Amino acid sequence: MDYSSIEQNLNNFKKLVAGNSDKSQISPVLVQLKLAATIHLEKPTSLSNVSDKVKKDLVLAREILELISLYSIKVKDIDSFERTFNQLKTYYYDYKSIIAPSTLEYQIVGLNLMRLLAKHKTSQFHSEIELIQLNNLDNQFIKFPLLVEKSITEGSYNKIIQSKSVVPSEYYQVFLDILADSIKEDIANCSEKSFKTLTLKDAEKVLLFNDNSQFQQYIKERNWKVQGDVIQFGNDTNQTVEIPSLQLIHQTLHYAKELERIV
Amino acid sequence: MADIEMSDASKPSVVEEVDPVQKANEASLLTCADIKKNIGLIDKGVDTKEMRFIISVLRHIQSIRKKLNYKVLNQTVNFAFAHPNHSTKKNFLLSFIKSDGSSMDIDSTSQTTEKETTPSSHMNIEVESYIHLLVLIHLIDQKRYEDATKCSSALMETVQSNTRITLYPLSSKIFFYYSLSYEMTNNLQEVRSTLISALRTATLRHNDEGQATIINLLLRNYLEYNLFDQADKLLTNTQFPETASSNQFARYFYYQGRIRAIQLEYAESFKFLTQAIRKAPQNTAGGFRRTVYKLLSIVQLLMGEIPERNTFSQKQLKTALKPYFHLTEAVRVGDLGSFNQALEQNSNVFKSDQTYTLVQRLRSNVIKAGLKKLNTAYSRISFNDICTKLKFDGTTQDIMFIIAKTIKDGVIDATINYEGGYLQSRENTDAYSTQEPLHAFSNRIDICLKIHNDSLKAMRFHPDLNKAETEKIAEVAKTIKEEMERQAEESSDNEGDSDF
Repeated sequence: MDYSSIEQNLNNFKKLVAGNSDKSQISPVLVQLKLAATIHLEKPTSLSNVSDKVKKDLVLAREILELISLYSIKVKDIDSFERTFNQLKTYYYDYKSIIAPSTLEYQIVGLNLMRLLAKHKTSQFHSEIELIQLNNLDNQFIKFPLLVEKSITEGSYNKIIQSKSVVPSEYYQVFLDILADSIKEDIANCSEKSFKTLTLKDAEKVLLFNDNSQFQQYIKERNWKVQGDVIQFGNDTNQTVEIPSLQLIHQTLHYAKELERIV
Repeated sequence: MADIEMSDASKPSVVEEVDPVQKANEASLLTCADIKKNIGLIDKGVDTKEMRFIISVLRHIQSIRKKLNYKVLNQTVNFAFAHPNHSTKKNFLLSFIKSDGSSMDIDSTSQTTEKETTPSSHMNIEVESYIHLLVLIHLIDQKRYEDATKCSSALMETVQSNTRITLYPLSSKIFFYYSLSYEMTNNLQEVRSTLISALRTATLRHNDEGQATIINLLLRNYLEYNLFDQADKLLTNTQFPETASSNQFARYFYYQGRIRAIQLEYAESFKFLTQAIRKAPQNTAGGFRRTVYKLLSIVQLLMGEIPERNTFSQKQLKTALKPYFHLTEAVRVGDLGSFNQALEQNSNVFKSDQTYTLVQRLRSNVIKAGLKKLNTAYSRISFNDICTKLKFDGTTQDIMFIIAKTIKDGVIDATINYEGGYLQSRENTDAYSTQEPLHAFSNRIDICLKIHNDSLKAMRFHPDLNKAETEKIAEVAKTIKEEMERQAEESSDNEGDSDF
């Protein structure tokens, strides 16, 4: 495949995606583009003296991968997004010095951050943030996942739900939906610990439910006791204090062994 | 780290040269003599395969470094590479030194030395590398980094193509300066592949010190570009040699601490950083300790602990740690207002210290500390009051969720009353009715036992003393055996007698 035919393929792909075509129509083009980006387009062997042709190839390959990653989010194929992003990283960080930055770069990096948040990979999330230059942290695409992360660690779940209206692009919505479920779980866990009682009306508000029937089902799933219109959270204050006998035996034997060694 | 600081320290010696020429000449003659003596020592070390001669030479590199100037180097290079066989190498090295100034002077000195010595065609690779290394260090001190990279690359090639055991101690120094020269020209990523292949050879050939140095250099290399993923993978895939010097260990622990801090594993990070401080030299390497203490104080804050006050009042660290001190105060009090202020005022400091992202994570800790204080002070307090007291910039709904999370995390022991919109703290439970004291005592006992065991392990016996003792025992055993044999013989003789 040569440059022009790949380019044509890419345009074809764009059209298909924009026209919301069927998956079966898009996938053959997608496969060809993937092959083109990884095999047919040339890559530099060293970072010095890169010819213009190779640079052109690099830019095209990057564009292909970017569009593929956005498409994967559109069809909610998160694994495919992860794969493509890992390929893209080379273009964003290693070839930074030889090709001009892409306009989509921050959006895709931001989306990856959202992916890590949605998958609860916080340590990776922070490693990725370190890769972003400090003055770019204010970029709207990057700022958003940062804000979400901050709200999660703080416990301001409210803010995350509210932030739905200010997403920087439609693609972020996918991850926010995934997050919303886990947030609901978090709130429920917190509520169990922190409330003694809660009226049903308030609980619906606290747990951020919009639909009453969903809420009723959720209460059943959680096995919460409902008396009248009040939920009783089982804060067992009168737990019986058990003597940790096995642990104590282990400890004492351990001390005995060590003392034996000293004496 | 430690060595970077040294380059500043070497400045005064350059100034010294300018005043009395006589004195300078004398000094350079002395240095030359020193280097010649060292070359002799290296030769001796190579011939007898005794590493300690070479290691002692390397130990003097720092003191010689301060006295290096182009004259000394010229003389040494001319002396060492006197034989025509080595002229290419000589010219190569001289090309770096020459551009320094008065060439007249150089010629006169070089001629005199050549007459004095009878050059031999044989030359140890160790000596060659040693002199090459001295030239390289000189270039770095002179801030001629471009030349230094060229010089160091050539040196790396020679070291990599030779695999003599006697070259090992030198090689770790060479790796270090090689990486340093590239770091100074901001081309650190170029050396990565060379270092990785060097690490492979060092590991295969059991060059422990070299291996330790390279692992640290690679970690530094990755962290320079914030490649925490790669650095973490390097850590999991390599094993740090246990025989490495404590300086290398200190660095290794520091890098590990930094990586873990970024990955939110604060307890681990804290462990590594404290170890790094313990392993670091106590009187020198102030820069290293400053950096570690900065990171350490933040990690401690993130763990929810307050660093001890005397860490901030140490003489060497006082000014450097000031921003971190303000931060600590804000976190301790739990005052969001002063925290934001401290963050804003010192944001440039934190950015240059590469702790900015870590500091930003502290916000939730500040809120938690504030809540904890409020919870102990009030038995019941409304959400509105909490907001104003903490100077919190959000709605009461927001603060309610935050409080709920803090309760879940076990930071405060309280319940929320939603209808009334207040926080009710629970009665303090008696700590002695729980397992807490048991755990605390058990921890302490474990530490004591560990100290005892470690000190037993760390006790060293003099090898000769041990040998003498075993010999003595062996001798005693021998005499006893002989005695017994003699007795047996005698008795058998006696028996024989009786038989007759």
